[in-house]
Amino acid sequence: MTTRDLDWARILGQAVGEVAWDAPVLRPTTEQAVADCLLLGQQHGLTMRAISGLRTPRPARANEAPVDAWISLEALRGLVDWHPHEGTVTARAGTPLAELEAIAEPAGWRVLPQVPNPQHTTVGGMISAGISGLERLRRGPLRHHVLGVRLALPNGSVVRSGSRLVKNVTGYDVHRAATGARGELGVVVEASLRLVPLPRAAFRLSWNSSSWTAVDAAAQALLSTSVEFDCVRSTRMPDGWTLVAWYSGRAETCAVMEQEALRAVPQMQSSGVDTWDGGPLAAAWKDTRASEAAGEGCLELGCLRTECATQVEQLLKSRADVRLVDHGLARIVLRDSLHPQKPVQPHSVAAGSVQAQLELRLRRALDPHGVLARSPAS
Amino acid sequence: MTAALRQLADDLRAILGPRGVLDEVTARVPYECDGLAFMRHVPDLVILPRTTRECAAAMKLLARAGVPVVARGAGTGLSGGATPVSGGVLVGTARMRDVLEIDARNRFARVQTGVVNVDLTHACEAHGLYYAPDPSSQKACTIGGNVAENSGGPHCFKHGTTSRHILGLVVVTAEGEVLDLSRPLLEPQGLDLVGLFVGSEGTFGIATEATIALTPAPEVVETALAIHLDLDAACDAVSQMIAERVEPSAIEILDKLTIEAVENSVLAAGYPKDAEAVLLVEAEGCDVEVRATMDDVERIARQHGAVDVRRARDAAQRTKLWAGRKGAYGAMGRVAPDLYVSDAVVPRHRLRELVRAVTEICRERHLKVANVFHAGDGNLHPNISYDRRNPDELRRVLEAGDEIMKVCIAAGGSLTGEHGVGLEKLSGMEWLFTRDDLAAQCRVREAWDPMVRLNPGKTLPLRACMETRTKEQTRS
Ligand SMILES: Cc1cc2nc3c(=O)[nH]c(=O)nc-3n(C[C@H](O)[C@H](O)[C@H](O)COP(=O)(O)OP(=O)(O)OC[C@H]3O[C@@H](n4cnc5c(N)ncnc54)[C@H](O)[C@@H]3O)c2cc1C
Repeated sequence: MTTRDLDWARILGQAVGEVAWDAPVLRPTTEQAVADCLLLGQQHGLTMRAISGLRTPRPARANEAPVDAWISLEALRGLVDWHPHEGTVTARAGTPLAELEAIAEPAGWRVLPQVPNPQHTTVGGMISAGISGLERLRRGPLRHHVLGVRLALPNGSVVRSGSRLVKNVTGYDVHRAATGARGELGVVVEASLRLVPLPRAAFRLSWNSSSWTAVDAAAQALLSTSVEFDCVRSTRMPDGWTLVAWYSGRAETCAVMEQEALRAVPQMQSSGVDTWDGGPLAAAWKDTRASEAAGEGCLELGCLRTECATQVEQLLKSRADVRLVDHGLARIVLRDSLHPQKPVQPHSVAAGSVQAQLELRLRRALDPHGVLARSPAS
Repeated sequence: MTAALRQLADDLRAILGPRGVLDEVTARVPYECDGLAFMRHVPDLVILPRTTRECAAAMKLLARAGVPVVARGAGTGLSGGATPVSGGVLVGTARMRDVLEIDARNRFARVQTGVVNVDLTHACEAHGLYYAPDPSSQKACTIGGNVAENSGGPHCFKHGTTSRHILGLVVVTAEGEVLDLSRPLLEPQGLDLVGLFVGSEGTFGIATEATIALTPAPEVVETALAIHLDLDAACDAVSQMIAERVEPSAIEILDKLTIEAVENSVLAAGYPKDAEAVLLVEAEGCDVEVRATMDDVERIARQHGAVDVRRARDAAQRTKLWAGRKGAYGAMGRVAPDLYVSDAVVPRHRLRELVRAVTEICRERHLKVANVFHAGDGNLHPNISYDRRNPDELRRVLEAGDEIMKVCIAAGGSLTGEHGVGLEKLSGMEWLFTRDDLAAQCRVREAWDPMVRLNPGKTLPLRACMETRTKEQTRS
């Protein structure tokens, strides 16, 4: 039996959307309907993959197993829980981050991660891909901010892990494992996120140089100050590199931090400290966010600071497609990468290792029949 | 002791040496309970491996023998996580106390998991670094226990609980395999197994080593003690700090009974005895940041009726302000022979209402409750003083514990913020989670420990899992 033969409309009470890359796009409208789709997949031996529905599914690549059906989460959209005095938000998986930002920012909260393209990044997509944002240096990776998720499983159930609270240790942190698991442990249908205060003020330092060594030295000098930068990022330009560093906080603190940073790297130009609300800096921050364009891939060397400086240097020598480097994180963005979301990781889990076996057991625990298609990069 | 057990002890001794196996009953009795003192069971054997390799060899043997295993750090846990189980062997980390590496430049340390929390800070403070999570038990509890419980502490308001600080682990699995995830990586390779392990309460494996992020010591620290004549108002002040997005590093509340207990003890910290509550807040960072944050804190506290706000930057004065908080549990030991430390989380904008409800639950049952808690995280700790030799009082304590869980769940809260489920909160799991939720968690547990030999009968109510399993089999 193929997916075409299944009468989805009759079974799920819903129409099948367009057919993309030979597989129908299902559009469940409730979280239970997502689980029902997966259960059907399990009963009929099909493979499925969840997509945000904001874009057409991407073509199957040589190393990617074709799926039998796509599950678009486009209809699972909107807030589930939001209290402006709590500092948390819960939303359905298909909600674009821009929608959360539009609600949280006027109330003084910032949504993490600060992704390049919040209109086209959904809550479910970012969690499955484990995308961290521009503020990763200061605020840590996405998995530190995911408080809980609801997961649709191929056995037809929707289960929760974690909660909507900022602190909680009840039950296993399956939501941590689901963050970055590329949907292999279940389809994220809802998530709760911790918010952080929107900055009251900020400043931005920038500097252009034709020499990578000089840019890297300046970045390292900034990182060795006590200033907790939001980000320190170098972008390749036709004639060299632009180094940008951001700090945000209270206006009076920004002034002190600006002085310390400029003492360490006097050649950098400062925007001056300005308030965030309605000021030009908020717009400039958006530009820095967008400097990592949609469709680009990133490479996370994953090692801690000192070792990675040499690795970054080696990479710059060996590859022409390095477009930007996030200092202090060994995060490198490549031009025209084939992997737009998943960080390309240089170290993979050795086949047959204790770790690989455990990962397999975990996948089988939640998806015993392999309905949730494995992604190529994992 | 049966012949089989004697043989097992001998085989283990061959791996661990004479100091690594305790089989005399007098040596085993001290391990009969953790901080949940009314649940006790003397373990059949206690083993104390020295290294990961010894631990793995011993665990292989125990797997072959099909023996249940309970991990234990310092035994300060408050939910019965380290309570021995019938017919089981207790694996203690007391001889795994080495700090293996401190990489000050990259700000991480690798330690054996028997290292005591505060000793890690002592080991790295010369480099201007410290380990941020600071449970009140930090002078005794181990890194392994902290990892297993995902422990918190006052400063986790700013720095996050244990899971945010664990970069890697070495785990000995139930079958005695070594899972080495110790490389200090910024992003996990494959699934985030480290993140999943943290908080697994000894049911996934024995953590033998941990790679831990260290935090730079702040330039300036300031502590404030706001004195309130009304507990409700102190709670409201905290809710407003959250709503105004003020970012100190710790926000704690102590109520009248706690203040009295502290002030009547050798730990007296100079808290005014006529206060109904004190708010203890700390901020850290550069001078201007700290001043501005503490000005906000003081303003909000005064708006909510604080009659006095004492601020201190001097280390000795700060220590004095904290002395009451740090010594609270010890001081309450004077009120009654036993202390039941409850632990629940609630939404922070509903603090006042829930602290009241919890206090009322205890009053209705004629129990003495003292609240000392991580208010900034909405993490309540109603501490009930009792005497476990009085069966009726114990019954009322447990009943109050259940009622507290129920009101917190009804308000959108959760069962435990840092002490774990262990044995204590098993029944609550069925109130908070659906059968499907629990079944999924059981399957995750079995992926780590297929025979469910690690801490059996704890953390997840097995009955619920088994019922779901049957239902599922019928469905497919
Ligand atoms: C006075 C007092 C104050 C406290 N304050 C706090 C507080 O502020 N915040 C807080 O979070 N907790 C607090 N606690 C609770 C307790 O101290 C913590 O849960 C602590 O992390 C337990 O550490 P331990 O070494 O004593 O572990 P144990 O009690 O020995 O064990 C706790 C759990 O961890 C497991 N375990 C231990 N070591 C390992 C290992 N190496 N590998 C796998 N599993 C392991 C055990 O099986 C058990 O399930 C307090 C306790 C007391 C008595």
